Amino acid sequence: MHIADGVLPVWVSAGGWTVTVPGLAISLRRLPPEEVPRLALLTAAIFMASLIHLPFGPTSVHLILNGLAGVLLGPLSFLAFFVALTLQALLFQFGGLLSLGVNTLIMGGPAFLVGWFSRRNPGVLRPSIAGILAATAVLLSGILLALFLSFSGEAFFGVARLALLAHLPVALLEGFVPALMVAALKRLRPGILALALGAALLWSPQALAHRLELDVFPEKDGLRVEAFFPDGTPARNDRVFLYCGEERVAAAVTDEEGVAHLPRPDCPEVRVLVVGKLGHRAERTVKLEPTPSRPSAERVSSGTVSHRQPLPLTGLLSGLGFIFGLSAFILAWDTRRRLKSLASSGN
Amino acid sequence: MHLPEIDRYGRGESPLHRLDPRLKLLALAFFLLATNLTWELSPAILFLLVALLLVLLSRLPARFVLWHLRAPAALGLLLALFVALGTPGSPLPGPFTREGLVLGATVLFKVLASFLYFLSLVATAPLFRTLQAARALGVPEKLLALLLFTYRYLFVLLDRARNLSLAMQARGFRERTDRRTYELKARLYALLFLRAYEETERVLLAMYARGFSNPGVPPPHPLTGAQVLKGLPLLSLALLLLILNLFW
Repeated sequence: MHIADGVLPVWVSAGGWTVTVPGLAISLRRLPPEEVPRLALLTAAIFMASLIHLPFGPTSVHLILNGLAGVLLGPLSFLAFFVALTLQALLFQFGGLLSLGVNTLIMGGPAFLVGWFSRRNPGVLRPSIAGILAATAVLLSGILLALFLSFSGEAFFGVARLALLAHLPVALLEGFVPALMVAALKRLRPGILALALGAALLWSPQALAHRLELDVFPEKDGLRVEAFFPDGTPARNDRVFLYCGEERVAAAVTDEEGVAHLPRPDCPEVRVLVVGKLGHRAERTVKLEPTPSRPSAERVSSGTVSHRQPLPLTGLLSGLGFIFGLSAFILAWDTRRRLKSLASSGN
Repeated sequence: MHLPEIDRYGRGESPLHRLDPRLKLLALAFFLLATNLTWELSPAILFLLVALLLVLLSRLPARFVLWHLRAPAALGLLLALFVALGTPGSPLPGPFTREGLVLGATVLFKVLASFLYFLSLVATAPLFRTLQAARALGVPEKLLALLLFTYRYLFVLLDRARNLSLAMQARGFRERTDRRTYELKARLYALLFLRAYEETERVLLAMYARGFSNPGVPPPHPLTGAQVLKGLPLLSLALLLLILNLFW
C-alpha cells in the first residue's frame, strides 16, 4: 500500500524526502554509468514480479518483494525501489510525487537494511533465511506505513491499524514465496545468487570502497599503467609498484591523467599494484610476452581487485541517517502532540 | 494484465499541451504544495475545482481520466471513510460525526485534487519530454536514465511474463490457495528474474558493441521568452493558490 498525495502533512513528506535524497545520492554515486541498464532490467523484473497476483483464499494479493529485492540487489535495492515507486505513481497512480520520499522510505528502507545485512553475511543466503528476511522486511514496511500514517493525526489511527493488520497475511506469503523462489533460483542456476551478489550489483563489501581499476599496456621499453575509477576519472598522484614474485622491482607515481610509465622487468610475470588515497588499492598480474610489439590490454576483473576495508563507512553512515531520520520524525510528532495537549489544557 | 501508458495522449493541441514541461513541473510542485498544506474543507474544494478546470483545459479523453482515477478514488474513499469514523465530535445519525465527515471530505478532495493536478500536467507531454524537464530542474541524469530504461524493460518483461503464464495454463495450471500454486508461482518469478538477468548480459554486450558508454537524457532546449510568457498564467495561478493558502 502506498500513501497518496494529499494524505500526509507537508512536513512529513518533506521529512521523507530529506532522508530519501541523500540515500539516493549515495546509491547513484555507487552505480557506474555502464551498469545502469542492468540495474534497470533487474528493477523491472522485481517490479514485474510484484505485479503478478497470487491467489489468497477468495481474493488475490500481490507481493511487495522488497526483502527479496534486498537479498538479490543488495543495498542498491533502495534505488531500485525509488524507481519502481516512481513508475507506480506514473503508471498506476499508486502514491504521488510529494509522498514519494516517504513511500521510498517505507518500501526501500527495509530493502536497504536487508540488502546491507545479506551483503555483510553472504553465507546466509539459504532459502529459509531469505524467507525470514523477506517477511521481516514486509513487516517493517507495514510498521513504517502505520507510523507515517499516524503522523497525520489521531483521525488516521484507524487506517494505520488497518494497514498494519493488512500486512500480516501478506508478510506470511512474503516469507513463503521468496523462500521458494530462492530455492528455485538455486536449483535452476546454482551460481546465480553468487553471481548476482558479485558481478551484477557491485555492492559487495569489497566494492564498498570506491573501486579503483587499472589497465596495463606493454610498451616498447616498459609498461604503461593507467589507473582510474569506474566513472572514468583518472587516479592522480597515486603510487604504483611493480613486483616480480615477492620482490619489488620498480615504483612510480601516476600523473594528471592517471598514467605511470615503468621500466620493463626481466621476469615473465609481473604483479602491478596501485595504492590510492583513502585505502583504495588495485592490483593485477600480467604475463609479459617475449616480444612486446602488440599491446594487449585486459581489463582487470572485479575478482582480482582486493581492497578490504575494516569499516564500510558510507553504508554505516546511510544506515545511521535512516535511523536518525526516523527518530527525528518520532520526536517531531511527540513534540507536536505535547504542544497540542499543552494548548488544550491551557484553554 | 497490461501496462497503462501515461503519455498515450502526450501529443495534442490543448493549451496545456503547448506549455513547456519545465514550467508545468514547476507549477505542479506549487499546486501540490498548496493542496497538501491545507486541512480545511473550503480550500480543498477550491483546489479540486481548479484541478478539474485544468483537466478540462487539457482535453484529455474522459475515459482516460476516469480509468486513471480509479486507484486514487478508491484509496481516497477508503481513507475518507476511516477518517470520518475515527474522528470524535458532535454526533450525526449513524456512526458519523460532523467533524469526521468534514475531515473525511477534506482528505478525499485533497487526494483527488493532487492526482488531477498530476494527471493534467504530466499526461499532457511525452514522458521523455517530462524527464528532460526534470533534468533541467536538477534531477540527476543517471536517475532519469534508470527510470527510462526500467520503463522500457517493463514492457519487454511483461511479454515474457505473459508467455510464461500462458505456457503454464496450457499445461493445465489452475490457481488455488495451496502450496503447489505458490511453488509454481515462485518458480515463475525465479524464471522471470533469471531470464532478465541473462537478457541483461546480452543487451549490455550489444549496447557496448554499439559504442554505449553513458546512458543519458539530453538536456532540453533553453527556454525562450515566448514559452515563459505562455506559462506565466499557469505559474501565477499556482503561486496565487499557494499564497492564498498561507493566509486563509
